[in-house]
Amino acid sequence: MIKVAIAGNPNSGKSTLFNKLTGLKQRVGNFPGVTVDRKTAEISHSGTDFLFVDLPGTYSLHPTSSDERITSSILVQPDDPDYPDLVLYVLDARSLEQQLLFLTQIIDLGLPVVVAMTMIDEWHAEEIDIKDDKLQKFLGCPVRRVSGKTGENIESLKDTLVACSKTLSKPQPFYDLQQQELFILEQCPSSSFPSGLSSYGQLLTLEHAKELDLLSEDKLNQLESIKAEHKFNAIKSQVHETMARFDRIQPLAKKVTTQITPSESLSDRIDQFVSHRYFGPLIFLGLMFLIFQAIFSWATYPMDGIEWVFASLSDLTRQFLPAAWYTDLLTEGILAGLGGVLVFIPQIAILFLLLSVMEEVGYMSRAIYLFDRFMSRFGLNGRSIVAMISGGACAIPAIMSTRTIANPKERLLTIFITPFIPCSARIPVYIVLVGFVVPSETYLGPFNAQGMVFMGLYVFGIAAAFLSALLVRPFISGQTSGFLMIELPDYRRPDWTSVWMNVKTKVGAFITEAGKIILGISLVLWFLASYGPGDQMEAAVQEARQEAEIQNWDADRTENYVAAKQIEASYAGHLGKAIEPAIEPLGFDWKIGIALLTSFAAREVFVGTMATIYSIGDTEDELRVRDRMAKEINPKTGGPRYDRATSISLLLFFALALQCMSTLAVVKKETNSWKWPILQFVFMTGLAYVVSLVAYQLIQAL
Amino acid sequence: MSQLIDLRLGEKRILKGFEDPQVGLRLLSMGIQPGVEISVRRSTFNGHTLYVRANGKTIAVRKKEASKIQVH
Repeated sequence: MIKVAIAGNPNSGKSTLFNKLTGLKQRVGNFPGVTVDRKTAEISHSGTDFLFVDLPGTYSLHPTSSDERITSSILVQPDDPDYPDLVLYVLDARSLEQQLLFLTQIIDLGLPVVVAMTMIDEWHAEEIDIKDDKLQKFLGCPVRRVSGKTGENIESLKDTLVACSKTLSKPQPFYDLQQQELFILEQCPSSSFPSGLSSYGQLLTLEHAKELDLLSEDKLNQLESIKAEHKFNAIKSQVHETMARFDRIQPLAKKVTTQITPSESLSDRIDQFVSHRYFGPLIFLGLMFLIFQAIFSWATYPMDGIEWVFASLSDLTRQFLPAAWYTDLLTEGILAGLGGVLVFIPQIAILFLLLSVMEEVGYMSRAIYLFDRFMSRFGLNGRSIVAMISGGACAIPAIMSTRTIANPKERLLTIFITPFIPCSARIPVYIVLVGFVVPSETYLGPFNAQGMVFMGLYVFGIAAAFLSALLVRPFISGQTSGFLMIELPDYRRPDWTSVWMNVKTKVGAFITEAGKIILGISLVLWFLASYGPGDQMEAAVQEARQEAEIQNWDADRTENYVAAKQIEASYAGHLGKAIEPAIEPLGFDWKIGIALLTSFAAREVFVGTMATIYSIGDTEDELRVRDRMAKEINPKTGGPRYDRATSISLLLFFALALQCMSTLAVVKKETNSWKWPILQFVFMTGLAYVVSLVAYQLIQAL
Repeated sequence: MSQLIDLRLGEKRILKGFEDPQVGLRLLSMGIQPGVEISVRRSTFNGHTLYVRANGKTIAVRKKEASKIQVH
């Protein structure tokens, strides 16, 4: 098995080439210690077995980001499990000079290299051409052109890899170490460095052992004291080395390239609008709006489909199994729980499809450019925008996407505030309650008033997110990142394989992470709602049936009434009554109390619970539930239960409270401790309580 | 001594050096070295983030970073 590390600059076409080489055989995992995607794949060619490992894009082995630290630490440790036998270097020849820097560093590590030149389709547009054989001669390693897009020459590249794997010949070193660098290395005992490391590799270890965690503590201290004793300035050495490399690379690049014409590229022309200081942000907001429209319209059909499937399965199960507790468990517990998880897949898939395309095309870096200033004022990162937008579908994949945020403080803050963004589970609740705040046919000028309240709730959530960032920021230790300095790559056509893999990974994460928890909690809640202390439930059922007889109700109405009385007598009902005194000042009664409790599994459960409590039976139809709720009378006032004050208070509660166990579970996993999810829960739910309280009391008083 | 932030939009200069080694190392490894042509193509509202073209590449830098980039 030959281990091949695929290395190169960011945006050089590395992922595209990886996809073309390995097809869908790639597996996505994690690099230990950091949550950056580790992509590997095994393929065979002409009898040789290869294991490809895709290393994070890097500009230089002197790392300036967490991605680069991974690559560096792998390449300077021969004992690392990912240390390769051979490096496949992906070179975008359009920026030859810059791309050669990292390549020459790898050569100096004493590793055999095969170079794949990508983006060849773009050479014609840029009016350049490369003399492959000259480049090959200068570098001392095989150079092959490939098209990541069309797959042209991939087989020839594989042949070259096979040939190289047999000889494993190393090219000549590129950079001559300076006197002072050689001197300081001689002062270090040979045991300080792992065996098999070239001089350059040793120099890198000396310079970066601390930040890359390469050595044991005593070896590290030993090296540090040697450096101090001889006043070795690591940064000066790195700068000199980099400039010395470029001194050799520049004339080389000129000799090897024919006719470079700098052009007012297409990317620049697009950026005149997209990165415009006023239009840019507007275009971005417009795109976000379109994305949401797309999600809600495209997702409706598959969502209805999924709901139909689970409803049918439930009916079928009831037909074939006797009426017993396990049938109920299966239909109302497991199937209902599963259905509740899977129904969100269409929205999540569409959102991540669109976001992936935006990232692949190169647009996301422009968004980061436009919003960096605004976001850093809140202690957030330009990439936090991606998480916040994703949170509009579901906080779970959104929180997972924060892995791309390098700075730990910015990442934690983003995770903390993302659940404030209205997610798709809040929508059924909003639909039911908005009707009580504003009657449906009112218009404010040309705008539908209900629609506006809806939008208002979205704005409210987003504002709450940013305000919380300001509030919580001082309590998180550490520094936000000092630097931006990101590359804005040329716009390019998306690599659909990458897009597909990204969507698959995110949806999969949602199903496994959220699915497990929601299912578990659904079962617990089903139990709480189906069983009660002693035989109170049986007694309640008896009473209910008697009442139904007296009133001469039909079978359906009777069953619904029985169900309502059952839930009252269950554990859930008791809990609801127990918390009633605490929630009364918010305008809630014990029935709402039950629904609040069940919604802590997942917010959308609210609608189904309301349906049960108000005896409409087994429905998810928001409008039916709303109509029924509208008829409910508040025994204390004689007026409607869901008057404006209670509805607004309830809306605000749902907008702010953290009522999603799955979110808590994912936050725990991503932050590796219970501290943050617990703090988040207390903060958000506490805030919800206070705001609802104040709102209710204020509106009552007016 | 001129820094990148002093440049008018579209004005082209030659990159001289870096006043902050971390800024320097990062930009150097991105292929932006002393001697190449550098210009600020556009900027965000209030000029806090700059859209910079240098040596055929496009990068986004903060005002703070730009104040550490010396130009001729």
